[in-house]
Amino acid sequence: MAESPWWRIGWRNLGRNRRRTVVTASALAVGYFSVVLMVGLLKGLVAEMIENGTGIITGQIQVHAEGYLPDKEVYATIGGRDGADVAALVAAVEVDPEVHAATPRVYGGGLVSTGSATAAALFLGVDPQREPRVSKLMRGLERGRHPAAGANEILIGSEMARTLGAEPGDEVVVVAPAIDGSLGNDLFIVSGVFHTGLVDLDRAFAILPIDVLQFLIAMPPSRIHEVAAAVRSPWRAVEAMPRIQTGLAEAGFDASAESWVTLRPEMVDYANLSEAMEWVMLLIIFVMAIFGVANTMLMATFERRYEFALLLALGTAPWAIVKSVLYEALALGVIALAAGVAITAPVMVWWYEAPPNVSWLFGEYTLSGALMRPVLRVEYPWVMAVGAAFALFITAVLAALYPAVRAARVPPADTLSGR
Amino acid sequence: MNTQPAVHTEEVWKVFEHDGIAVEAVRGVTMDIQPGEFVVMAGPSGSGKTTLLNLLGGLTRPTRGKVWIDGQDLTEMSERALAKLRLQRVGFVFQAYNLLPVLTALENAEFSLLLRGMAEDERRRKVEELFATIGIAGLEDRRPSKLSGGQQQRVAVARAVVGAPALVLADEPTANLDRASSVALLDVMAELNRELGVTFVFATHDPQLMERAQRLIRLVDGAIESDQRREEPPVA
Amino acid sequence: MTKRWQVLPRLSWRNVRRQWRRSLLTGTAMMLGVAALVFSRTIGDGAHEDWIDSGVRQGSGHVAVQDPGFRASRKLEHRISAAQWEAVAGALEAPDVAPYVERMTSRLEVLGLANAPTAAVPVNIVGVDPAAEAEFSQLGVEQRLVEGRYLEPGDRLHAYVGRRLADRLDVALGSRLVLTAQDESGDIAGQLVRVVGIFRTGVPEVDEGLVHVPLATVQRWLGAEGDITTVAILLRSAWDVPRVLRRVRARVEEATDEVAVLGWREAMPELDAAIKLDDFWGYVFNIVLFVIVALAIVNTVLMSVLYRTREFGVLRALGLTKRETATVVFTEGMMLTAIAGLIGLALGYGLVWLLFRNGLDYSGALEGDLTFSGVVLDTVVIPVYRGVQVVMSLGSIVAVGIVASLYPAYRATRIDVAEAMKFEA
Repeated sequence: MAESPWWRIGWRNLGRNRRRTVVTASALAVGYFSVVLMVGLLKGLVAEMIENGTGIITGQIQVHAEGYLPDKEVYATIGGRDGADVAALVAAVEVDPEVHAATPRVYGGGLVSTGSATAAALFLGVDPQREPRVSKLMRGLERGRHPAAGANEILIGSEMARTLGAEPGDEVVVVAPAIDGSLGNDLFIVSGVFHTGLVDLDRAFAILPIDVLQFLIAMPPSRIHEVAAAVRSPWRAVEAMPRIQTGLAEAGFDASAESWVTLRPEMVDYANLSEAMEWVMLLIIFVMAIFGVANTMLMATFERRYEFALLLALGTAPWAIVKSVLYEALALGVIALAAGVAITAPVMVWWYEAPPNVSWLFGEYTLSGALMRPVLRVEYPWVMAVGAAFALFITAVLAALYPAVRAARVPPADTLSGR
Repeated sequence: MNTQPAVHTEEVWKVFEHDGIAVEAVRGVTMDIQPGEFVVMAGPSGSGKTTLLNLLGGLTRPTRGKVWIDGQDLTEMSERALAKLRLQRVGFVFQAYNLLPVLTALENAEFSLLLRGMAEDERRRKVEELFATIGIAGLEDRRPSKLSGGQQQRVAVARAVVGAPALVLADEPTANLDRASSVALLDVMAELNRELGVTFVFATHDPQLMERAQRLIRLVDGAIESDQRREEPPVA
Repeated sequence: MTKRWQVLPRLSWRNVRRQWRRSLLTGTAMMLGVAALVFSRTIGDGAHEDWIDSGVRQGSGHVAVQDPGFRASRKLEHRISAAQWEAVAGALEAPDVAPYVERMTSRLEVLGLANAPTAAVPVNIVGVDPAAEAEFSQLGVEQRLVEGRYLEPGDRLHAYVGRRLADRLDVALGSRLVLTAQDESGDIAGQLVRVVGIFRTGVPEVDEGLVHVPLATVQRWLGAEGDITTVAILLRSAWDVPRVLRRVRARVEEATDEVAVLGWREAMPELDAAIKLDDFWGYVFNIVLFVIVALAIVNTVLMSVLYRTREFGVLRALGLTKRETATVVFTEGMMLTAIAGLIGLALGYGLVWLLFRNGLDYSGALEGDLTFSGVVLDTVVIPVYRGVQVVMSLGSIVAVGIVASLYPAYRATRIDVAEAMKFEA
């Protein structure tokens, strides 16, 4: 098999018409480049969606009391009325190797008022040290500073700050219904203003130190609604989730863990749709390429019909002719793939390192509820890079099939004796 | 009759570069060809006869020296002017016929007239007349692939002479033909020379063709070895 | 000399026909390319119209009329005054605008809090004219209505709320809830309302953050009798927006500069961005397709040139100039491209009409809703046919033809005539 001459013949035949080989191989290489780049862009879009969709506030994994979702009742704290050992709970989540950081949260609803203006608010009680490691919410600090633990300080969104006409240092009244049925209210200082770009967040969210919020709504420090965790890579959250669930049970906590996949199913839907689109693109592009390649192979074989006739006359089996043409196509595929990888790899690396900002073309938008920056980023599409390589070879061979069969059917006597 | 020669060359050289080696294909050829002559340039392959023919037709430019056709200096001409000169003053007949495969016999023959902008009925009349003269009447609407070699070459001759050129250059016109077809083709060309005064210059090593020459120029290694005229043109 | 120019295209055309197998293969690539372009444009335009339509119905219409300060403040103090509205109403009734207007609706929008015994949720409270709004935002249609009914004329203390909001507040049909917001004088005022209907759009922000209440109720509650903050206008087609905006603005500016007339692109920049992104993808994909098609055509025409060196040699010997020889080749490429392209155009429209005239349904690919900048995408896309698409396709055909024919044409001029004649048949 190794000594079969057809591979060598196929390879050398490509060298006979270099220009044609170059044009044909470049069609395949451009096809490869386009597929990998477009899939990379699509993956970049999905990654942007997931990172921002989960990173701004959701986190990739959340732990709640059973039944907290979807109603988010204020009573439904982890561990019921008695609460839990918050530090141990957070530690039980953070111990998982995939988890980068975890943080406790308390939620409440109410009003923030400057006296002249009032805004409805969703209060989020956070651990000011831990929270920034899990979500980007507090990292989007526009002015001022974070609230300090234990202090009556509040961090509000940029839209709310505008509605209230409040600036860092201003005094506001915070009113929130407490779990004992009373109405908690207290004076707070606006410590800072954050901006995420998501209007709903910037308008409705107000961040307080967790202990302060617990005190305001008459909840003991042991009661929290949620532990949010960030993992190193979003898709790993799916694997980490059951492990964390088991870990929690073993540590004696009655709580359920969920990953963003179940928390934000619409994003998974979009990711799936996007993956389907990748395959459609692959298909369309290489189907187009087939016609270009088939043409060339047809010409190449027609040109050599005397040779084929001669080979047949010398007693070569027709399938050997087919084989030589197919090997030629494979050799073409090798050249095309080498060229394709050679142009694709540097472009992808460059694009990955310096994604172009297209804010001149369009502004921020949201996809499946996630804020998207006007940046065209790519992710390395490893699977598709291999898939497209296979598609390239399949294309080359499919395109050569008909020419190969025609070559094997050359009538030797007629061809050799004239035209 | 015009006293000006149809072709005049002065010390024409053609040097090709092949892989860094200079090959002197034509070496200092000086000659005149008068209107109405039937000239055969003979010589072994590699003697430079095809190159000389190409130089006369303005298909190649000389490395040194000058070529005049009908009193016009080819070496001074632009590509465009050369194309025009070929169209109006020079006809070609090739060994491999070189008819355009997508055109019919009639269309091939009238091609240069068409390029000159002659009216259709006039073109048609001229070609049909010529086809009758050279014995291929009735084949007007066939494509080259449906013609024999001899027939194709006659169409090529018709294409070369139909525009009344000052000069018809023929490179081995009989090389691809059998003996009978060759004789018939040469008869046709001799007749055209006699009756219409068409100037023919051949490059060949076909002894049959050499026999019929009015003037036989022998080339060896790119230079003229001998140049003989016969007083009496042989009759077929 | 005119005759001379007639003969060259004829030569090109005969060559296309002689090499029919090759022409067919290359033509197929071109045909598919154009067909794919037509497909993506008709479906893409159809999807965009759906998005814009849903977007503007849920939002503030194709054209929104507001006080210039309202968009930033969302406060009651930036209401539309009677004088402002008069200027706009006059402009909308003008004969060169009125025919484009499908319908309009007036709203009083405030940010507030929905309170139930167990929770308080920030919401966008919209006072609506039930009859006009039902037709406009279509929140009450069958697919969106979960329980109960939409608001009706004559309703007073009724509220129509989203599914997620109802869940969070733990309220059901008939439950009461208290809406609180800042009133006209800046004080916090509460209003008790009863849930008459629950809807679900699929957009989480909307399902959790929107309450519809009769306009008159909101006006009385907040002390803004007779006032509105927004007039949302729906046009017959999104394509008319620039024209209508231009005309209305010109007239309004004559009367007063104290009112903002916003197109949906300004009012909903996120939706605008989403559509531009989608368009961008369409262009990228089509360019890639045509680059590949162009390569296939370059290949074919180039091969055809290299095969026929002798023929071009003969043409030159017969007195054709280089430019004319190039013209023959160029025309050949253009003809091949044009014919295949036109067939592709017909094929594309034919297939789209045949297969998807009743809509392309991709709901099978999704379990939930797909939202893009706060709009739920309709999973059934009805293709839209437009002249622009045909112009674009024709443009691409010509562009590919030119690009793919130029190089081979150039190559044809580089043939060494003497050399070309040398070889045996």
